[in-house]
Amino acid sequence: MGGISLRLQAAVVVALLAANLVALNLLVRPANARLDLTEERIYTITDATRAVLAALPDQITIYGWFSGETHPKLAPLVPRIRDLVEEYRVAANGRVQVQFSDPRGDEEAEKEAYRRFGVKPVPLQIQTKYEAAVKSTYFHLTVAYGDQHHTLGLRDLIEVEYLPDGEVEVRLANLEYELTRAIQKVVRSFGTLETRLAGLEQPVVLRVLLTDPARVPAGEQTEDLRAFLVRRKEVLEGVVQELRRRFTAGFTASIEDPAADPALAARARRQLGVRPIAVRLEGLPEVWCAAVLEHGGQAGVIDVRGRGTGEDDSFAIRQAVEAGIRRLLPGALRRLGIVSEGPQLSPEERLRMQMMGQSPPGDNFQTLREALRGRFEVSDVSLAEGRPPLDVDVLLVLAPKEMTEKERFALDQYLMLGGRAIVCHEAAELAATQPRLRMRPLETGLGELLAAYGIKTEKALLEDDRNMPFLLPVIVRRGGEHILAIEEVAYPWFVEAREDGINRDNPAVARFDQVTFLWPTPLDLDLEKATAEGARADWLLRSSERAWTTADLIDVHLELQGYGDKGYAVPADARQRLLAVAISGRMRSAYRDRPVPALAASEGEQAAGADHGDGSGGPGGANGEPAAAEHGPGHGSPEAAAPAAGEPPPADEGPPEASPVTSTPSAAAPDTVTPSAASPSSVSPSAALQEPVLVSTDATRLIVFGDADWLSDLAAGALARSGRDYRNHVALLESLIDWAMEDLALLEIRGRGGRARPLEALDRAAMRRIEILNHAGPALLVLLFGLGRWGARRRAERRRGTGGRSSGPAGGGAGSESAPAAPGREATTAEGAA
Amino acid sequence: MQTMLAIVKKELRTYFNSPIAYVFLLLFAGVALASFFQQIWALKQASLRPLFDVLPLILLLVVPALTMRLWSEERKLGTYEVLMTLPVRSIEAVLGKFLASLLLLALALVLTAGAAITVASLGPLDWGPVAGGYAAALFMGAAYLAVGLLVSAATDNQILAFLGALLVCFGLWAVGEEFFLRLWPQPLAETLAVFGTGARFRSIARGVLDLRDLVYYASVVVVCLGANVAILEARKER
Repeated sequence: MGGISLRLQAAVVVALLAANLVALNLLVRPANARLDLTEERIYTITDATRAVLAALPDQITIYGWFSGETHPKLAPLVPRIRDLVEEYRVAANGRVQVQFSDPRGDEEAEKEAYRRFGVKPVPLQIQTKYEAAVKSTYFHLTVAYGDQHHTLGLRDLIEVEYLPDGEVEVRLANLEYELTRAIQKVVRSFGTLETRLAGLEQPVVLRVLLTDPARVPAGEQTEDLRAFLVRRKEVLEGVVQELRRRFTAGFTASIEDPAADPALAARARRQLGVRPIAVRLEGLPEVWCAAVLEHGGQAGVIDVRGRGTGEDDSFAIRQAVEAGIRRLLPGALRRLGIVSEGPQLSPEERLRMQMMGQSPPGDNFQTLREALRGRFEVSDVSLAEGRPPLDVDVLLVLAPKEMTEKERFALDQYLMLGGRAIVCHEAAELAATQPRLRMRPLETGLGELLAAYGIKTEKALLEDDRNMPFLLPVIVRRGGEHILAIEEVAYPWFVEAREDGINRDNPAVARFDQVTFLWPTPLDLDLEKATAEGARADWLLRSSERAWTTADLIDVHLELQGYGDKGYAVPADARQRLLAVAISGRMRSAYRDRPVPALAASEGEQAAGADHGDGSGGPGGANGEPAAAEHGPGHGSPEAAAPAAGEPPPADEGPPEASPVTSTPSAAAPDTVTPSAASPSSVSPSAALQEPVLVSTDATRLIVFGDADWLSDLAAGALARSGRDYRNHVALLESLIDWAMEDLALLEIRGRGGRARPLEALDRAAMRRIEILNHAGPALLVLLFGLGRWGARRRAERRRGTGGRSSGPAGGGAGSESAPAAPGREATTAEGAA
Repeated sequence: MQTMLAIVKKELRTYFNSPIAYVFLLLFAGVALASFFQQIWALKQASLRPLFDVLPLILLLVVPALTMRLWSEERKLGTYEVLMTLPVRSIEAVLGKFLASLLLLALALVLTAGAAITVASLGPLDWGPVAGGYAAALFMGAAYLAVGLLVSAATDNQILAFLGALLVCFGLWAVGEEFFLRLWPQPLAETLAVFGTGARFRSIARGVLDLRDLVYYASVVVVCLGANVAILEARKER
C-alpha cells in the first residue's frame, strides 16, 4: 500500500516538474536573449529592420510558399530563408505572423495563393533519384498587410552566378534588405498618415522657429521685416492649428522663438542645422523663420519662408510638413523624383497605347523606372518653374537637354535646402547604329552649375582599355570555309569601373564589383571649391590608368583592324579619370555669385509682398547701407529676381509663364540681386528674406555621374548580351539613394553576409585522401586507447596475481578514492557484481 | 559531490572496460563523418552544416543504446538492491550516471573535429556556427541521455529501455517538426513547436545561442533526472 502511495507521490512530483517545464518554456517564449556567434552577425537583424518592425502599426503576415521538392540548388536555401523570417517574427514581438506552406498538390491552396497574392509556381528543371522533369515549384515570400501585399519571387530571393567552368552557383540574395523593403512598402502604402502617426510610441514634434515680430523695434528700416514676420506668424499659426486638428495623436506642434531662448537657438544651429536668416541690422534680434520636424533622434528642416509657392502659402507649408513627416517615419517609402527628357505619360496612358499596339513615347529609362517602382514612390518632376521639388526625397536627374536657368536654380535651391540629388550628366548621346555607330553632342546645361560645385565636366568622351567588349558577328575562315561567328571586340567607349576603379571606402559603392558606362564623359573634382563650406567630396568610380579622352563627340565606330588585336591604341598620355563623384554636407550655392533668374511674378508676393509692399524702391535702397545701393532702384520692378518690395500681385495673375522674365547675364546687373554671404550685414532685411539660400545644410548630398546611358534601356540590353547584369546597375543606384538618404543601416544590411565561403577545389584523389585521414584518425585513436587500457588491465591483473575479476574494474585508482564511496562504486557497476 | 564523481569514474570505467564505448565511439564518428564527406564536396562551401544536419538523427539512434543498460542492467543483475542499501543518495547516483554518459558523448563529438579542421584548412570557415553546432549537439544529447536514463530506470528490460527511449526521443523531436505540426490548427501548432528538439537544434547549430533554447534543453534534463530520482526514492521506500 505504502509503495503505491509513494509511487503516486513520485508521479505527482514528476507531473509537477513537467508542468513547470511546460510553463517555463512558454514563459520564456517571448524573451529575446540571444548570442549570435557568426562572424558577420548574419543572424542578427540590423537596427534598420528593427526600427521598421517596431513601427509596425498592426500585425503583418509573412507567407512563405516553398515546394518540398525543389531544385537541389535551391533546397538548402529554404531553411535559411525560414531562419531569417523567424528572426523577424521574434523581433517584431507578435506583430509579425509567419506561415510557411507548400500549396502544391492542394488545388484549393494553389488557387488561393494565386487569387490573393498572384503567387504562382515557377517551372524548374528538377532531377530526383527517380526522374528528371520540369516541375512547377513554389519559391516565394509574400508580405501581407491589410489589403496590401508584396511578393518576393525567385529573382528577388536568389542570386545566380555563372562560373567560368559552366557551373552555376546559386546564392541567397540579400534577403533582409529585400524583406525589410517589402515590409516598408506594404505598410507605407496601406496606412494614412493619421493612422500611422497614431500608432507611434513617441510623437513627431514640429517646432516652428519664428522670431516674434514684437521683438523687432519699430522703424522705417525694419518696417517690412516686421510686416514679413507678422504675416509669417499669422500663416504659421494657422498651419499649426490646422495640423493639430488633423493629427490628433502622435503629433505635437509649437511655435517657439529662438531669439528669446539662447539654448534653443544654439540647439537649432548645432543639432538641427537651421540658421537664422542673414539679416543684420544694428539692434535687431536674430531673425528666425524655419520649422523643424523631429522624431526618434532624426530631424528634418522645412522651409516656411513662403518663397517658391505660387499657391496658397499655408497649403504649401502643410504639404511640406506632411512630406517631412512621411520622411521621418520609419518604414517610409522614399519618394524619388526623376528629371529627364521626353513626354511623360501616366501609366494608364502608357498601358492603353501598348494595348493598341503602339509603342509609347518616352525617354530611355523605362526599364529603370520599372525596376525602381517597387522600392520607391517614383514620380516625374518638372523644375521648369524654378521651384525646388521639396516633396521628393531624392532627385534623379537623367541627362536632361538644355536645362534652363530656372531649372538650374530649382536644382541648386533643392540642394541648398538639404536636398539629395543624383545627377547623370553626359556630353553626347547615341544618334545612330547603322551604318556606323554615331553619337551627337548633348548639351545638358548642367556644366556651369556642376563647375560651381567643384565638379568639372568636359565636352569629350572617355575611352578606356578596361572596357566591356562589343559582340560583333564576324565571318571567319576556318579550314577553307567561311563561318559566321560572334566575336568579342574590345570597345573602349564602354568604360568599365572595376577593381581599383571602385572606391572601397565609400559604403554605397564598396560592395559592387563592376559598373559599365556607355560612352561616358570624364569628370574632375576641384576639391578646394567643392569643400569650401565644409562639405566632403570624394570619387566613387573611376576608369583605369589606361584611359584617355577624345574631343570627337560623333564618331564612335570601332575599327576592327589597326592596332594589333585591338581596334585602338592607348595613347601615351593616358591616365585615370573619374566617372562618378559624391559631395556630402555644406555646399556653396552656384548662385552665390551668379544672378538669380526671375521667377514668376506671383512668386513670393503672396507670402509677404502684400503686407509690406510699398511699391517704391523699398527699404533696401532706403536704409542707407552702402552696399544696398547695388540692388536698390532695380528692385522696383515686379519681375525682379528677388522682389524685395515688389507690388502686390495683380488680381488677374496668369500662369507663371505670363511674366517669364529670365535674367540673362548681360541684363543681370540691374535686375537681379547679387547677394553676398561674406558681408551679411550689408544685405537689406527685406531682400534677405527673398534671397536664395547660399549655403546648404549638412543633409545635402550630390552625386554626379559622367554618363546617363549606364541606367538606360539601351544598357539593359547591351549588358545582358555581354553577360553582365543590368540589375547590378539598378542596385548601385538604390545603394546610392540609401546613402544619400543616410539609410546607413540599410546600406549595412546590403553589404552584410555577402562573404562567400568557398571551399578550395580539390581533385578526386585529394578528396579521398582527406576522407580516409578523417576516418582513420578517430578510429585509430579509439583503438589505441582501447588497446592501452586492455594492456594496463592485463598488467594490473597479473601484478595482483589473484583473480582480479571482482576487483579488476576498480583499476589502479581504487586506492586514491574515498573509502565510503568505494563500496558504492562496486555496487553501481554491472561488472562489479558479475 | 565526491560520491557523484566516484560514480562518474565508475561508470566511465564500465563503459571502457566493455566494448560498448569503443563501438559507440567508432560508430558515431564513422557515420557522422561519412555522411559529412558525402555532402561537403558537392556543397563546395566552407561549412559544417552537413555534419550538423545528420547529428540529430545519429543522436536519436545511439543515445538510447548508450543509456539502455544504465539502470535496467543493475536491476536485472540485482546490483540495484545493493546500491539502494548503500549510503549513496539517489540524486548522486542519477547525476553520476548522467554525467558519465554525457562525457562519453562529448568524446564522440570531439572525434568528429577532423571535419572542422579539414574545412577550415580548405576555406574561410566561420567558427561561430561550428561552436554553435557542437553546443547544440551536446545539449540535444544531454536531453536524450536524460530521457534514456529515465526510461532505463523504469524497466529492467534493456531492449524495452532502448525502444522506450527511442520512442520518447523521437516523439520529442517530431512534436516540433513540420510533418507533425501540419496536422494541427495554427495556434496549437505554434505551441507544440515550442517543445520540439529538432528546431531548437537547428537554431543553435546555425550559430545563435538563444536563452529559450538553453532553458528548453535544461528543463528536459531537469525533469527527466528529477523523475529518475523520484523513481529511485519511491523504490527505496518500498
